[in-house]
Amino acid sequence: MSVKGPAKEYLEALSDELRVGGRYRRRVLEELASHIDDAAERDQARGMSVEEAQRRAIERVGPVPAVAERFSTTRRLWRASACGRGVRVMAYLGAAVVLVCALAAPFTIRDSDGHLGLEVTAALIAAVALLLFDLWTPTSKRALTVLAGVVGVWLAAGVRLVSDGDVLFCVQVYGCVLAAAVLLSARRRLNM
Amino acid sequence: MRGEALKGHLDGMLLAALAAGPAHGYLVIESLREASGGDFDLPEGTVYPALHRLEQAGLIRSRWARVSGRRRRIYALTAKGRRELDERRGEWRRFAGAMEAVLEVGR
Repeated sequence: MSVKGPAKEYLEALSDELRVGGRYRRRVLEELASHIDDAAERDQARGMSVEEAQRRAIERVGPVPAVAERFSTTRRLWRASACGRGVRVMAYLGAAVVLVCALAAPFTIRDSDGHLGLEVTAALIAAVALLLFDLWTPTSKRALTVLAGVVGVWLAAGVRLVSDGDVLFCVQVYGCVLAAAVLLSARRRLNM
Repeated sequence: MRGEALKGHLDGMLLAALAAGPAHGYLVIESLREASGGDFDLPEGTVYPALHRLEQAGLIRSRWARVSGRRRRIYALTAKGRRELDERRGEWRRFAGAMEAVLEVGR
């Protein structure tokens, strides 16, 4: 930055107020320095002094706290959105892996009555369905759909428990649903 | 016309300003001022965060370039941005037409 005078003071104050990382901070300051130079040059060409022209350009950009707040908010939303995209990709990849494991479970897991594989499959698919259901639902209705999913799967597991007393199956379902609910809750808390 | 009246239209106006070709922030502000005959007096501190937001949304892209001896961030519309602009133009025409019809009732 080659700026001097009031512009330099303004950009230094802005740098102190910005709540953003180094690279974005440099970009913002360089862009605004260039903007103030352009605006001041135009007014100097109309006969204003350098200092007067810079003050006018700064006035048009706006007060430091308000401008810093706008950039900081923009950056915060930008990072949240990028982070959200990453988590979403990870969630899809994780869901795909779990689905493959679930489908392979009947062939790889054997127990005395021969049903454990199928039970694991059912439990894992229930958890994946819950996750995907959450990903594809609009934010406003997400809490409701997740609650409905959790209650639905728990009820199904409860009916199975009452009908044949298969405690292992219910533990699997409860565990998977609980894990999915914890993941969803963490994602929401991080505002993704 | 001050910022309040332009709220909600800023993104569309910035996309429209860049439809003519790549430009840096100061040029975008100037072109909007000229295109509106001086009526659109944008608070300049709101333009850059809005440009950054549009870039994050993939509607524009930017790069550093040296123009007239000064390093500047140059913004350009993406294909997605062009589609968004077309959509906003359509929406605006419908809105303006409907508003005109409503305001003319009883004249």
